[in-house]
Amino acid sequence: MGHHKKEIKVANDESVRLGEGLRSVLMVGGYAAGLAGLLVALVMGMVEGDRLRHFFFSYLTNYLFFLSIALGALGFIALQHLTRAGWSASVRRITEIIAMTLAPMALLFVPILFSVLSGSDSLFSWNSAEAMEHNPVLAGKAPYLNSFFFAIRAVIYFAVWILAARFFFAKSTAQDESGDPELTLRMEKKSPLVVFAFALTVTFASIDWAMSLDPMWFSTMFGVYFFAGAMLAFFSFTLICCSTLQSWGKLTEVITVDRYHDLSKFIWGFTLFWGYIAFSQYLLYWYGNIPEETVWYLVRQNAAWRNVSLLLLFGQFIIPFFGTMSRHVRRNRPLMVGWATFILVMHWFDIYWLVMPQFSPDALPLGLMELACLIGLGGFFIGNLAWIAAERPLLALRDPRLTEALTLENL
Amino acid sequence: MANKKDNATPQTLGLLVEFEDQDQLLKACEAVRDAGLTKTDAHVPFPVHGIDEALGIRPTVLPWLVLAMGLTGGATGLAMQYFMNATVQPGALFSGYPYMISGKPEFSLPANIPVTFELTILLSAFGALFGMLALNKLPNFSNPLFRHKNFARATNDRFFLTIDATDPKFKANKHREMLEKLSPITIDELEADPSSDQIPTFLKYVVIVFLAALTVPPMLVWNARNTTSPLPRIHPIQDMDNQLKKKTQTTSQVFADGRSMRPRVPGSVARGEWQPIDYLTGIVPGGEMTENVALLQDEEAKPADDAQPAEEQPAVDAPADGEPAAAEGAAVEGEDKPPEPDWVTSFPETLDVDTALIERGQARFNIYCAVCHGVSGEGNGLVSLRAFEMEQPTWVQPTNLHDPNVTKQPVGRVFNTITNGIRKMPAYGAQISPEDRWAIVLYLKALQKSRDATIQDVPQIEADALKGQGN
Repeated sequence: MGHHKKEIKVANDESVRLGEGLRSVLMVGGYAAGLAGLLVALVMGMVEGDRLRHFFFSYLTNYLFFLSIALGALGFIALQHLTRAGWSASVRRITEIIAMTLAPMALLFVPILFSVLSGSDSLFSWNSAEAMEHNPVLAGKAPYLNSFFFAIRAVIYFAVWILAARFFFAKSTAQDESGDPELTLRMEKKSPLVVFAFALTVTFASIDWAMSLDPMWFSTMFGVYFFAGAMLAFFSFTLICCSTLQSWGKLTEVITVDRYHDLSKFIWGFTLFWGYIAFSQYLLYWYGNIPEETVWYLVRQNAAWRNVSLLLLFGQFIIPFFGTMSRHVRRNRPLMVGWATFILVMHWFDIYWLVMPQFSPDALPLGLMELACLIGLGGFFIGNLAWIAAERPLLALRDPRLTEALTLENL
Repeated sequence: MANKKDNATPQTLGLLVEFEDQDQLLKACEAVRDAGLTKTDAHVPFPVHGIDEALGIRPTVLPWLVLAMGLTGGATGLAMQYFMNATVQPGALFSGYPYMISGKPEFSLPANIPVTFELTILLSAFGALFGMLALNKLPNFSNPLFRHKNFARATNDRFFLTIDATDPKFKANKHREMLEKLSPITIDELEADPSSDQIPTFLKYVVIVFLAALTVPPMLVWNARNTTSPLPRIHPIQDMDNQLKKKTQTTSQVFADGRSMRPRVPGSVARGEWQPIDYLTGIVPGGEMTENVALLQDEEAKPADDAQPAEEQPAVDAPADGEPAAAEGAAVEGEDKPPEPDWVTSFPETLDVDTALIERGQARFNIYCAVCHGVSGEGNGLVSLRAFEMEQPTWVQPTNLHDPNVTKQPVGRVFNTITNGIRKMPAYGAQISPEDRWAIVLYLKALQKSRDATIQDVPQIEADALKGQGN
């Protein structure tokens, strides 16, 4: 806009690529940490002698944590194309790379799938024919909650996610070469379908993998709750990614303070959304006071879990809500990286709070096992990101909306 | 604003500078800012980035207003609910009205969040809207700018800069020269409106009439509150005042028994009312003799045959009432008596045995028992005395409660007697609550003990006091 603006040049050079050195360090380091972490966790799980229950619950917690980030990325891309958003073009490639980790995430789901298919009920208590038989409610849910249908659904979810992520990634990278605006139009055309499929699959996946841990319990809000947390985690993670890349000297000119401002606005918005959804779900069950609904919260309101619930109330809602409210905070990169890290930690506790009480209703299992699984899955996640990034640009170089994204200022 | 006394003479309000494009405008803005002018404004057809900095406009305080209003709204919502639902101020002009909904506490945060949330949003929105209007000095019905011939193009394709003449550093000629270097289309002086700014006279009367009319509704309300009316209330909002419902003690076509008031489902216990079975019956549960209480009452009839005036005829529950002779005949001495149930021998653990309970028992005993058994329990209550005075042939003297046969009875058995009655004594279970029955038993035991008490039974301090009194 006129000669009062600083011109931003987009060059297809080293500044928009991860670089061979960084990439191999991240891949080797990530995969090594991943293998080591998971091996340690597995050995510890076998030593504990509870049919690997602790290991699987811990694994699922951390798996859902990283999966939620990747899912948030996919939902974000589809939404950007659906709304023809221009502001996000400069950070969209990063989110496309995050979404592409859904493919290796499918491999990491195999242990869970294998455990369910082998008939083990250490993770999902509905996978025990005995428990199902003696409970008329569970018997009624048996057509849905059984290992075979569970596996089929998981395959469908991953198929949908991987197809969608690959579609956006392939079109977007192809545009780097051709610069064809037609590709953008094709992505926009498919985005409503992706949003629709995304909403359904994320809802059912969260029901299958987190809610059905307590097969007696049910909530019609659970999918939205998971989605809210996933988007929150995704925006925080993306903001951290952007800042990290910039501190490595990548994309320094391209991602402006206004993009941090935009991402922070979404972080704030989804903090509010998460609090709203979490409270709506809680309020209805609290007011209704129907035993089969309140039991899920009862566990999380008693003993050790009460503290985690309070931690979420303050840590994932009230504190970041006021903390990230101000424009000055949102435009302050180091401060926002701090808030994003804080929110990611809280999101981890959110998933932990969803999953772990089924394993240990009376005490907080927070120790080496959780840490090992976090390092294990986190290592693989980072390694996958570096592997997918390869030598591709970290920026949608010839996106028709890139100019807008580079120059748009928040009023 | 125009000076009222001087409307006729033209007055310069400031400069209006018109530009072709936004870059020229931005340059002019910067020049004006650097000249130290602050009472300036720019008028553009679309948002121009950087114009705030170019003009030196400080960030708006509106967000702080909205935050303050939002926090006020949230605090108001919470405080209002606390005041209305959880407190009561007797005698206050406005008092809270605590009420309980679905068993939740009177002040319970989850239930109060929706209202708190809505008020936060509402006041935030008010803060944003009215704060914005106030900061923009709106509503403003007229502005001298509107009379400028080209100014309407500010919404279309022209860029305007205004400098207010009231700015302390404003010098019309100097700034005009400065701006002319920036190639504006025109530089015009804004003139004050020469017409009168007096409110037209007829509008004053309209306002007076309107304000007068505003007082009518409060006066009507005041009148209505201080007079009586034979007409039924008007219900603009029904609020379930009129509804299909059954009143107490009326008949119903819905239920087979024709009663509107539904009895409890047999065998059900209301929440919070559960008590151990021994508390309710005086019998230790589980024993095989537990069901023999009715038979026991027949067995008790035997002493009546022995012509003891202290005992009564056997007549307790309905079947026994119907054939008292048979019951008497059955209870011959030496014949196999039905074994007694396993009586509770000490007071239930759920009962607080203390002085308050004894006093409660004394009160209940004097109400229900003393009329026949006498205040001291000797079987010479007022009803009994009167019956003997009138020589009622069927009346038998009530039991002397200090009779050894009675004093040795376990507490459970006394409790059962009160509950189900015995011989001619009717059942009191329906009238006296279980706790009061236990209280009566407790008092009765104390009463019996007092009859045979020695000075050793009295606590030392009390005994000393008594000695002092006696001597």
